[in-house]
Amino acid sequence: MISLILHRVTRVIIHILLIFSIFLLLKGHNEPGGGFIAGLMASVSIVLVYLTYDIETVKRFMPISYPAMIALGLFFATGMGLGGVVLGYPFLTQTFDYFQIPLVGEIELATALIFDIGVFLTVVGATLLIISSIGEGS
Amino acid sequence: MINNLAVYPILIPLVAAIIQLFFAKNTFVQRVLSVVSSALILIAVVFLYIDVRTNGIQVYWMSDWVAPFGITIVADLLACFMLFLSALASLAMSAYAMVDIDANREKYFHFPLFQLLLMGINGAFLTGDIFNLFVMYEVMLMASYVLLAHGSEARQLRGSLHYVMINLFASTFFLFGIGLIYGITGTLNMADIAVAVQNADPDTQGLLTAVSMMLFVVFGVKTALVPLFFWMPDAYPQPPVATAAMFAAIMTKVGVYSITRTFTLMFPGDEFTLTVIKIVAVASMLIGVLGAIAQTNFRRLLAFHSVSQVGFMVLGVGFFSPMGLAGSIYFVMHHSMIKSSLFLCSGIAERLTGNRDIKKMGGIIEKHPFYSALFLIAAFSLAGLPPFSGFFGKLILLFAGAELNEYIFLAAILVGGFLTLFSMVKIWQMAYWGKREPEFNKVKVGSFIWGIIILVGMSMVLAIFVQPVYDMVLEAAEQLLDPSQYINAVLRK
Repeated sequence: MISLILHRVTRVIIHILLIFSIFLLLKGHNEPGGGFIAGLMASVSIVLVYLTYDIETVKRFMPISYPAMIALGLFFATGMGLGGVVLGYPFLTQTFDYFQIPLVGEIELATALIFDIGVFLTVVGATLLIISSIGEGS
Repeated sequence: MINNLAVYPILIPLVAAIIQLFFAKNTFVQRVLSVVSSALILIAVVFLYIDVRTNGIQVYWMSDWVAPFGITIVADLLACFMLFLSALASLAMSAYAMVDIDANREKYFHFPLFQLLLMGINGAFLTGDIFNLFVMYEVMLMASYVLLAHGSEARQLRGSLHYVMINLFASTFFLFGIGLIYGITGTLNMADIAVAVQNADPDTQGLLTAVSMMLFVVFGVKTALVPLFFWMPDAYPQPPVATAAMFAAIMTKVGVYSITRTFTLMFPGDEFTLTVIKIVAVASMLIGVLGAIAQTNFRRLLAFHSVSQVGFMVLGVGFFSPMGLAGSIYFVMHHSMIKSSLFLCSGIAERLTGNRDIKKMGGIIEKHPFYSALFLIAAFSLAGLPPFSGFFGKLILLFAGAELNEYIFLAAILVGGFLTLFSMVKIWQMAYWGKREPEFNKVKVGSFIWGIIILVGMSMVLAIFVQPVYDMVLEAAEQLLDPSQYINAVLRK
């Protein structure tokens, strides 16, 4: 049975949840946040869609192959580590710098962000894979 | 420019697994990548070994955080030997898996999981940080849980349930042990722990011994030492042969390696712990082989033998002399080649006869003499007949025991070897000799035996060049017995 309230509320808060997860992703590294927690946040918002609607809606919402998403995430995370190796530093060595970006001003960009994006994709991919295989099984 | 060699054995399987994930549909690419990755690790390890021989123990700071704060990767001679074995075994298993793994398992990521298993194993051999050791154990175990249950046959699920439960229990225990160590010494870096234990105040000595025994229990579960071996004969017969062989060849050795590392580096030479280790080792040697004699399921029999053979390796650590440790390392090398080739042999016999019970096999030698000869060499080698590698492994251990006047243990080694021979002859008589059972299934044995040829061939190399190999393992053993080398290399004193 689909609750009307849940239905309407999900449509509104799904945006807030996803934006907040990206906020956590960008905030990570220096402050509480990061790829893992952001990935969980995004996954939870997708689980909410699954609970409110059904697995078909989730698939329409994100029409991608989940194993490929995991692979892409691992690729980003490992690739960031290998970047250090190529440049002659130990594996996973990180660096950061400050950049002037129009409208935003000076911000810090760290290579750890690439790693975090990788973790984010892996977590979301793994969660989606789990709920889609459970959802299809029933 | 920093030397990245030490981290390659972890990175290569990780990268291979990621590439394989991208080729989810194309299993041919996955199969080839498995073999290529193992071969690359093998090459990297040979270079690493040369590097360690010429420049001493290699230390690598992960992400440039200096020990004891960051995670350290340490490659000494023992780690090089273990890495060599894992690369060799994975090469043979990948060659076997190319033709063995069914399409359904291939489709559901058998090969990436295998590479991740390899990454965990290599990581455990290389890490110099005890918490990272725990993490690498978990990486290895996660992959092994999936590989064990992969395919979802009923008997697989039954075997893997025991395996998962006992390993979760052991991992929790491991975590408690690490917590206690951190509480006492305030560090997780193994070299730093070793220093802290040396300078520990005499009051904490009892607690430290208790913690070291806790770790011994954990590693005892993972290697399946008596009395914690009961999960193993249930778990190993279930998955595809290539997976079971990898578990038997290398995963049990990770535990042996951890025991060696713990009791030579962090808690060296304590009289009480060494006595416990020796008693447990002898009990495993005898109970394991007696269990094996009672079995008629080919793979269960081999799994029971693993319990017994691990006893020999751990006994060498218990002797705590250069010769004892050298014997232990030699035995690890011999056993990982021979036991995995025996598992692969059992896989072919199962395919030929469609049966797992050796009572229902028979007469394989009539049709497949070459394959039977390979089995015979491996079986005699396991039993310790000259001139095969098992004989020299036991001989070194016997000399080591005689040097220390530990005659009870010498008797145990001889009895264990004799009973092993008995059960190997049992397989040989029932499955390979005798009357040919109804027709065999049509199997291209030729395409399966490459892995066995690699492994048996390498064990012959061990046996023929026993003197140079002995000198190499003795060098590694002497390095182990002088922990200051490891400590100074890691802490840059």
